[in-house]
Amino acid sequence: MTPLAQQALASGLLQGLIYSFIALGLLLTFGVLKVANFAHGYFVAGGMYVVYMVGPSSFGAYLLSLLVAFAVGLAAGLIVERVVLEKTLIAGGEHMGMRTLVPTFAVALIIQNLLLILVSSPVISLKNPYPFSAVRIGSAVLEPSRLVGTVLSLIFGLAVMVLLYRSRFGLLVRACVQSNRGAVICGVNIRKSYRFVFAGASGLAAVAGGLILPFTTAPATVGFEITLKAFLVVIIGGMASVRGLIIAGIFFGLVEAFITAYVSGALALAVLFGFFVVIVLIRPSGLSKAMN
Amino acid sequence: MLKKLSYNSVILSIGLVVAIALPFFVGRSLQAVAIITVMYALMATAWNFAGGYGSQVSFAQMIAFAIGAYMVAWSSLNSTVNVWVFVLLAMVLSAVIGFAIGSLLSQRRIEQFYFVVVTLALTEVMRGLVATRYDLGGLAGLQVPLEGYGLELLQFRNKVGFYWILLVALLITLAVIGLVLRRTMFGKSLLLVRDDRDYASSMGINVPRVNGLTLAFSFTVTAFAGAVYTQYLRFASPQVSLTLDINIVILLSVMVGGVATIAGPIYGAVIFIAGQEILSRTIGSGTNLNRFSEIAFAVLVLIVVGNFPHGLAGLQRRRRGLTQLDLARVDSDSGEQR
Repeated sequence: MTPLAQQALASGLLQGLIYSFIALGLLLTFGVLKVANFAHGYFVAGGMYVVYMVGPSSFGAYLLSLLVAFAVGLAAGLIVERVVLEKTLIAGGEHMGMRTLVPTFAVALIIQNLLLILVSSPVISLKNPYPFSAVRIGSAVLEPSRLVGTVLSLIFGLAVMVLLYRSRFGLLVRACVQSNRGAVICGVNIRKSYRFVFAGASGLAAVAGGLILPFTTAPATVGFEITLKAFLVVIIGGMASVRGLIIAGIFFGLVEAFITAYVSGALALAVLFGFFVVIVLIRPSGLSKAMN
Repeated sequence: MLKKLSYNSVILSIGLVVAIALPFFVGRSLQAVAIITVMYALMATAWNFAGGYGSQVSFAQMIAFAIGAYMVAWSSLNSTVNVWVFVLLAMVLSAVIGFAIGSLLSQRRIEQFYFVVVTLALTEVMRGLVATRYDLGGLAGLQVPLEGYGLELLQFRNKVGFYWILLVALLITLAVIGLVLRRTMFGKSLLLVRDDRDYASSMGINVPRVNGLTLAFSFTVTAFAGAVYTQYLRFASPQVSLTLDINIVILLSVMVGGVATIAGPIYGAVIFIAGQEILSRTIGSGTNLNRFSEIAFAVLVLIVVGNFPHGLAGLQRRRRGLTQLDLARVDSDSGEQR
């Protein structure tokens, strides 16, 4: 393999795992609340801005700022769920994704403008907060932030999975994914599940934002791009399984990295989204089923 | 028997009189506001036809807008043929692309939320393609040179000319939509497809064709708006002519004004633009002003959508009980022809 291909493979893989982590919150929201949360990427952007505003200079401070981002995301998610979504959710009915489309877009608009008011510089970035510099694997050079960011997001993702599959709370959440009505009948406090899942997903989104900030120069409008990418990952992953999500995330990361390396960085997004449209046209149920 | 006038028709009639009288009484800066407002109203009306009366919550409108924008911008730089030829060409091309997108996605049963995400992705694809084309100016965009003034050149010494053109286009669009919905089979099948696709196709309605034609009409109008707006700004770029922000604002303003109503998109456009203007007059302009006004607008959206599902134009509905649309829905449920 040529060095360029190795580089693309390594960075695409890492980027893909981070995409999966970002999309995990979206998948949970969609699975439990049946809400297509178009504000998800804006929560990620919010996390970026929180970490940027804290401005950590050491590794310890950076971890602390991630915690702050998580807390802010959690609180914001709780408020949004309670104030904006809960009435519609409790009323229930079909096409929840469409009925919450407009409210989540409105929330996205609010978050984006708040961020623009809070931070006046058009682009934000953070210098390497980690105590070591670039790592060489084969002939691929990896930034520490990308590497550790991926490892941390894997750990957090794993923690979410453990919570989902090995705890009572997770059992209740999975009951809601299977059938909200059935869960209510069995005595699950569905409002509580809604609230926890939405707030948790928002908190995780904010942490993801903090993780990607050190290797991203983000314009304030980055939230939209992240939302769209996360949605594509969730849809291609089949909208149901975490395994599909991870495969789709890695697929996305690799496609993006190879197009950027071999064709053109400016075209990468267009080709990526074009890929997505073609895949959805051929197989609307997502890739994971195609693999089985 | 004299039909009782609805509030909306009274407000719209007064609004029309005001709209015609307005340019004669206001100064240059307010005229600019009026031009933008009418453009948004035109685009929102076009969106509402596909996304409100139809079932296609489209985020691909900016594709048509950009076709109109780039067609006139490119032609003014590279061709001596009259600009109106290119306006027509853009409208035809947008109609074809709109039909292709609408019917193909409908045929593949990509609907609802999937439709939203796919059209979002399509707009981003178009954006990436335009931004990397150097003959279209790339990210920097194209400047439209001034060749003279006159209706035949679609350039006006007094910018109010753009206002009249957009206003006429808006009135024609409204008339066409009203006629199609009330008088044609197509209008009835459109509502039926939205409310119950399977029932519609069992009635023998060609659903992909209906969806394709709906989006084609919506695209045609939007392309015209894009062409006129570009002539007005004398500038086209991915940032201005192909930004999803405009599409999102249009969606939100239709929701505030009243989705699937004739008056709704106009109310929404007036509130969004006029709201921004009033805020800038009262608070005074600053760099963050637009941001605060967008937040205020988003809060208004949340309040209206949460409490009045038919928006401001539908306030009367609660009192009157059943409406035209509800009746159409009842029809589609019971299978009776009206």
